[in-house]
Amino acid sequence: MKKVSIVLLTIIAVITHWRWFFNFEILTYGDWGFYYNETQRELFSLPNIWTSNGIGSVALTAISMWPINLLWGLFAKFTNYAISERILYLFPSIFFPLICCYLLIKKILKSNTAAIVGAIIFAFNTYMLVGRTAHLTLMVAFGICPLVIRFFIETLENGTTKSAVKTGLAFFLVGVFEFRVLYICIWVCVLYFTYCHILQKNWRWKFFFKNISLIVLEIFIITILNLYWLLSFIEIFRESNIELFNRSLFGNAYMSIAKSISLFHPFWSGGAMTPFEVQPIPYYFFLIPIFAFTGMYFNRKNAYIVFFGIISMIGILLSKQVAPPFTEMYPWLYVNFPGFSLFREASKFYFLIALGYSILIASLVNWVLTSKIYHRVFKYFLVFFVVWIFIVNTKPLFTGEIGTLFVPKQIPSDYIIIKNFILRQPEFFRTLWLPTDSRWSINTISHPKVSGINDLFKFYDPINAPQVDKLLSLVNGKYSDNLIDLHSVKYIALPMNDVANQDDLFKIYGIRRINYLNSLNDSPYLNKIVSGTKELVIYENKNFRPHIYLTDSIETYKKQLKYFPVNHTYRSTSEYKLTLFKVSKPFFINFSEAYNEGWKLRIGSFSWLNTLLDHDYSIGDEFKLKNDAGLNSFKINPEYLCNIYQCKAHSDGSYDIYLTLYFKPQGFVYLGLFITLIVLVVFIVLVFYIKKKHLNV
Amino acid sequence: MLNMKRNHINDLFAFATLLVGGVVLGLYTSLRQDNSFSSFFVKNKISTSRESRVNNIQKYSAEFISSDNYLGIIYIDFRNNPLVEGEVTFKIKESDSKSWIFSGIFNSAQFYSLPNYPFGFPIQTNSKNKKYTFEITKTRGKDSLILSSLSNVVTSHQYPSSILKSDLRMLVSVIEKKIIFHLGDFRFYLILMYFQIPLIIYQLTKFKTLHIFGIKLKKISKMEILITIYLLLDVFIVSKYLGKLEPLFIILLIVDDWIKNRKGSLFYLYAFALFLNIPILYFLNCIDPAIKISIYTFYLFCLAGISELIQITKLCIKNKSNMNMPI
Repeated sequence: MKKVSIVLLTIIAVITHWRWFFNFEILTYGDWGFYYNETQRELFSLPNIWTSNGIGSVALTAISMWPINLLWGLFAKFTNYAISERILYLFPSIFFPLICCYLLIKKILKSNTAAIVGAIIFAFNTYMLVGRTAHLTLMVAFGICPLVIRFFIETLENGTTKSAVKTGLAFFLVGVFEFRVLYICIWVCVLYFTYCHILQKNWRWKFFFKNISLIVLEIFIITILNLYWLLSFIEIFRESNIELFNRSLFGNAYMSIAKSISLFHPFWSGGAMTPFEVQPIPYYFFLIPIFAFTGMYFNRKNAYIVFFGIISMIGILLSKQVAPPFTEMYPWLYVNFPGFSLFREASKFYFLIALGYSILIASLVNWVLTSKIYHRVFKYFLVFFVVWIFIVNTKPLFTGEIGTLFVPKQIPSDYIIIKNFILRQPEFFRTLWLPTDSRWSINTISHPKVSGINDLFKFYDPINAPQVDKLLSLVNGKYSDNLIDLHSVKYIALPMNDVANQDDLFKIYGIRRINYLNSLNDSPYLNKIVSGTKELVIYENKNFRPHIYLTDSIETYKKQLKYFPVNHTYRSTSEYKLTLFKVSKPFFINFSEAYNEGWKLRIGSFSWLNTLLDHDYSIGDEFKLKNDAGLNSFKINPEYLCNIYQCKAHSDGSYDIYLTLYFKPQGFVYLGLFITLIVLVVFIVLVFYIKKKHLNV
Repeated sequence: MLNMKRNHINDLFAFATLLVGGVVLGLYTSLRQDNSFSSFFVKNKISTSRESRVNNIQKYSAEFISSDNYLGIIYIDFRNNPLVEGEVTFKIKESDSKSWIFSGIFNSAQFYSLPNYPFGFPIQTNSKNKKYTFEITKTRGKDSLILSSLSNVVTSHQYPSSILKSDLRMLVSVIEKKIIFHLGDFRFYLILMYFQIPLIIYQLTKFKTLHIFGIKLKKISKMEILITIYLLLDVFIVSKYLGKLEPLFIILLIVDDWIKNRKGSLFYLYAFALFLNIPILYFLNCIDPAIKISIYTFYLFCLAGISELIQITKLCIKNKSNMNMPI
């Protein structure tokens, strides 16, 4: 029966999401981007805490997804983006919620029909559907959560190490897709643990400590498996502020208590996707909480049901964000509660409502089906009606009217031409896209794409350009030429008005394309390139700086300085080898990545292990500077430094210096990865040993 | 016999009090929806209307005679579900004139969240008895707009307060028009109906037990009538969320539940009864009362949850929990 139910759920998933299953074209929309094969291949590498995307940044969210990114990279060797995205994200985002929720409810209610109904509610509520239009990492992680909760419940019931290991691994899987979901999921389990121990029949310390030991084992597994990014994360957190934790609250106006109670996503229109346009709640949505809390009432003696009732209330309380009641609660938690600052908008807590309601409504269905009061026709009608309320939500997905990831996208040929044109050039440079990059813009480690709005606009604030012209001042401002040079921008590109792919960037940022075109044509430092494109235009900036170069004085965007390229080799986004021949006078090494305290310079031989052990491994921080363009500069006095560090001295008083430019937290990544792999190997050997011993007995 | 008569008189008195109270409060609540004291709504009959489609451009035009001066807003009732994306041009002019008084471009997606859409334009001082033509043209977007069958159009007239201060007769006339409009509005009747709920509950107190959706309730007490009146006054009269009046409601309900030993069933009943009103209030565009009821409902569901937690803990103490913990 269990197999039949899973097959039935699979059929429902395939029918409702047939647009994903019966075509193999590229699907991309909103935050769900696109990789060319060249970019996808680069993901097959060791984890890196520094990303060269844009003008460089700490890759905190990307590094925790390293195992999945590794698969992205691996898949690039065999197949294309469209297949990879389906296998890694699209299919799991629909199958996991259905099947994992089914397994959880089946465990709690022991009813197939109720479990199927609950799974449908969980997978087809408006929050999960909206999530499936762009936020697939979240949706896959949320999809696995019910299974984690089931494993956790089983761990407390069985008290076996095997269950604890299983739970730990499932937790890890959630974290691989989204560590914010892992955070929510851990809190659900902590609450369940507390709840269980409050309600334990015959309280005994012995069992409490046994359960605690199992929890410790789970925490150990989660920590060890995430160590490859956790250590570096702690190091960065200790050293500097992490932007991810310092964002201001967002989307206060979208949330309301009525929307949360009725499990209605504010942007759900029932037709085309309308991001950031708050929609009224269709009236039938108000039946959802009625069903849910009726389920709680009729199953009030079932401790599991009461627990998930409480979970949904917590979800309602959090997901309404600053809407009344308790308007100050969310901002307070955001500032004071550890880890809460990861949730700058509260929609992720809809998961708790969806999980709670799916179990409560399933319990109502179960109660009605097993009740002798009601006629059979009424029972079937209720089941059908509940399922219909949620299945009807999938109509825009089925018809494709929702657009987004349910309508295939075609790469405009202009972008392919530009991609080939850029990748033909081996040296490092960036391409600036105005007003921002398109999803089709090529982005590789040696040719990052830069968004005018997201990456460079912040540097233009001090220039005091009139507000209305600020976007255009990116190209025609007083210091635009120098700023663009300093950021190693070789090309400035103007994306297409790509209405067909729902990618009309000019409409979003409010300035017409022709205005940019005029500004670019009028810029004396830019040359228009004839690349064979129809609409997309690209301009060359001749004087762009190399990735790493020398100047005699501190680099500034306020005047043109003479610069000298440096002979350097790329090892990873966190490590560069530099060789300087016959230098004698003081100079500056400039590195055109966003300034970060973690960038260090070592003179002489280099080992990542020593970066962790030796505090004075790099040249002192007093030699490190942030230039006015927000990039890294190092002041080098060969005579002084070569007295301390290993250099090759020449008879004329000059030196050959071998340097390593490295991002220090990366050392913790390698250390964490090493520990993770060692523990994994020990763990696998132990499992085989125990199994073999068990078989021999 | 005498007792029965007294009971009937009591019932009649309660009904009359609640009816009169309901009318006054209903009218007060309905009038509060007006934009300002000096503005009022008027329903105008549409004389001619025409819908055309040339080269896939949808155009709707209609004429009406303004029944009062100071015409400033015209409300058009759209029926667009699901949302229709695109742009709409709204134009209005005096029917005899060639030039338009106002012409503006609007995003048609707005009509989904605000179906009774107010198109504002410069106030027409001498609009009384003048014929106006308005035009709505869908200029962008592939889907058609759906307008409700327009036989009437609601307009808003904004008299300058200086005129109302100096002319008492005019002031009385404006108040009269305001009241007449709201008495004809079905929102008023709905609010009036809400204020009869305590009476219904009062009638229910006469039953010893009550079954609602299979839930067996003990006799409804007079305390619950008072709680309901308190709730209605807070929702419709106070209306805005203050965060101060709800705790008293909660305390009263907890005390009542505890005294009657209802084990939380009252919380469910109140929560369900209240919750069903939210869509009605949203439909009527009574946003503040709808939010307030949502908040009350949330509190009630929380109370129900806490009550269940207490009951479950009691069951556990008696070794009757179904939680399968390793013992």
